[in-house]
Amino acid sequence: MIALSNESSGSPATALSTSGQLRSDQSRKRLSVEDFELLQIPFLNPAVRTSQGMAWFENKVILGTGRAPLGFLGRYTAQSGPRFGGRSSQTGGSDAHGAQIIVFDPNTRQWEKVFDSPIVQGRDGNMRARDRSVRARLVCQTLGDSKPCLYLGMGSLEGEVVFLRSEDGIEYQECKGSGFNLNADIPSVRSMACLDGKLFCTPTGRNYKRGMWDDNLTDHPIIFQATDPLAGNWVAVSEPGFGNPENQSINELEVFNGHVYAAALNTRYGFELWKTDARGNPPYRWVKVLERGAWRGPMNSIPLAMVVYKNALYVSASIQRQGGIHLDHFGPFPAEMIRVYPDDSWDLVTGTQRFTPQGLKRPITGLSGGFGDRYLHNFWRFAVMDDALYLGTAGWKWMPTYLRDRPDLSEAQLQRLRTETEDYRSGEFSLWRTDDGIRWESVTTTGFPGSSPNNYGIREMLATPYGLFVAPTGRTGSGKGGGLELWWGHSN
Amino acid sequence: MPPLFILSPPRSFTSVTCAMLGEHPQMFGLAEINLFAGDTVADMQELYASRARLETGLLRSLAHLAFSEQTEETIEAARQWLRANADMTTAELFRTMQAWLPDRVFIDKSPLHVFTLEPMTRMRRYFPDARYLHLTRHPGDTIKSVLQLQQTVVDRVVERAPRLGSFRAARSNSELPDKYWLQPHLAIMEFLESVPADQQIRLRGEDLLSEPRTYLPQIAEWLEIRTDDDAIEAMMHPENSPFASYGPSNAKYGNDPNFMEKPALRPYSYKPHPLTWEPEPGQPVEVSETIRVYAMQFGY
Repeated sequence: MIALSNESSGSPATALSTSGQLRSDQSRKRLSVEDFELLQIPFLNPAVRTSQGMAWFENKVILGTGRAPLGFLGRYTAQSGPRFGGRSSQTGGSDAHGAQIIVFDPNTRQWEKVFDSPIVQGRDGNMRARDRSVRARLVCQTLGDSKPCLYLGMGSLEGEVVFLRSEDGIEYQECKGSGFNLNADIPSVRSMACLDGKLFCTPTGRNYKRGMWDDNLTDHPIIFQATDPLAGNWVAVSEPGFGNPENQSINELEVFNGHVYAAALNTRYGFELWKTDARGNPPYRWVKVLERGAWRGPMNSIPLAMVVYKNALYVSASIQRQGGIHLDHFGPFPAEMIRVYPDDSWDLVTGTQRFTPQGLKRPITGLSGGFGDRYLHNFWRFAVMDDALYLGTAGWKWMPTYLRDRPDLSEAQLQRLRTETEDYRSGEFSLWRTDDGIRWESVTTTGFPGSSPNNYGIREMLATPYGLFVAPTGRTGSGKGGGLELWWGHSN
Repeated sequence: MPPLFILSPPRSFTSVTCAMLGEHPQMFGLAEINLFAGDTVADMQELYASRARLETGLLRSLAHLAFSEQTEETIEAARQWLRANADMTTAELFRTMQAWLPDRVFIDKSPLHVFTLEPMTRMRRYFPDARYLHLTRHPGDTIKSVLQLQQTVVDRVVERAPRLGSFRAARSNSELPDKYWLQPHLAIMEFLESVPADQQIRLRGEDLLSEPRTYLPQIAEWLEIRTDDDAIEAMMHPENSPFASYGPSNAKYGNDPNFMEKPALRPYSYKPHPLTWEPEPGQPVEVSETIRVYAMQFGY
């Protein structure tokens, strides 16, 4: 979720609601699937297949893009020697094709490419893109900034994460302090937060372990802050994993009720949610809000997305896909959603009813996980627009690891899974909206009309004064029949 | 009122849980009736012919419900009544018992029900509004308890036949965790796929015993029955269950012997420990990958 700043005020179509969330004058009407148009994005290189970082900045859509890792599923990313199965770059493009930043002005419908990953020499001596993906984005005015600036975390193909800063969305400066100054295997980040002039961020990924399979894990599950990101003055503000060695990364950050909230991935017992008011000198005092995946356990191992909506923090979680090993092999497990209140009490929005130390939790929607669909695996991205909360999802059927080698299931169970999986239509994903977190309506459950069968979920959404921008993620770049799509939902 | 079925492998705190819940003023915890292993009373009597102890819990339950006491006489009367009603379906028998104590949620926790789908499917067919409490225990602790009970049984045999000397119950059977933990849980989970989400819930037995005052009110809330202090306090006394002690000589068991020896709640605390089991005392080995994954799903 992009924290909106004053840069959006003054636009003829824009006003800020009392909650600070975006209000779009022209899109007050409930968006329906017919309101979405597919934009033709120029400049994209053939490797780009996703966007994990869009921002509304200086009255423009900043479209940060990303490609696949080097080897198949990244297993041998950045390692010398052959890549897994010889399937390197099978997701389209070449090693030289990396992350791009493309700017769209919805007022003029003009596009501008403002950034291409630099080409650098890889460890094997070959030249390749430095940046794999724009992985995190936030508008923040730090103590070192004279105005709100756009900060981007650039995931690396084989090096360390680099931070970019822009004052206008067009020109980008590379910040000092790549990899949080750790000189370690820190290829990426997932999330940033901004509070009291401090930019918070945290490492993710391990290029030198299992590449994409460890896209979410890190050897350094620590939260850092910078008061002057351009100078790279990152300092640690939490202890590793909040003191729990089972916390393998900190995947989501959000500011809520004057606190920074941080959600930690824990594949053994389920995610944890912590918060701090970030006062005093770092490291700060962190308080645990949720543990054990909100008492669902490791089926809620990975926190997927967080957003503040109507005085509650919404957190979604599921299992980390790991290529058919561990829990991934035993699915499907649907995603769950929890909402946390300022006093740390919480409700289950959609999920399995259960007993907890905080009392009996029944889903306030009346729906079990995945809004009742056990294959709805990812509640992947939230966006708040016009006082409504939008949710983009991804399913599990496109990669049905749960069908492989299941001696734990009866033949009848397996047959049910097979039959239900046959319903899968390539490219399907769903988009939902709600006005209260309790009653959800689907904008679509089958993707957008004409969207690519290469897509498998909505990885990024952006609320703007001009409507909702939705970026489904594809399995491959355009070089292999896929490519990034951007859909613009607006009422005129 | 729709019954509550506790679904759990043996040695998973089912007896104490059933007895606790059964002390709620609006519930009644049965002994192990094992009733839904068959369609009719005649089916069950066929089973009892070779495994007489399986009838004990039913006889004790019938005697208590019909006569408010379990004596050799009332047990025998129950047995005769069963014989006279052999054509009754097991559903009719269960409903008859419910009619003898109306307005109570009957609780069943029979171990015979969870090893295959058939008994559970029968429950669902007979009682579509029933609720299901899926009770779990750490796999290593479950198997340890199974082995301890086996040894207890052997010790009693030896007591009666000293010639057997220091005979020891068989251990080292690598299939024990699969047989007594995984397979029942898999059957339960397959069955629960057919049950609406609001009619089922899972509970770690360790959580209930560690913090009964935290979890008992939640169970009552889930069942939509009284949650006041008196009701909760009543559930803190499983020793008050009519099946918390041995029955008369012609129906001695029908419940867990260990529970009947010491039925009162004792201070209990659970500390997470590795997913291992001990085929030999003091020699832990890791459980299989499948057991590990399911145990993790249950919170271990």
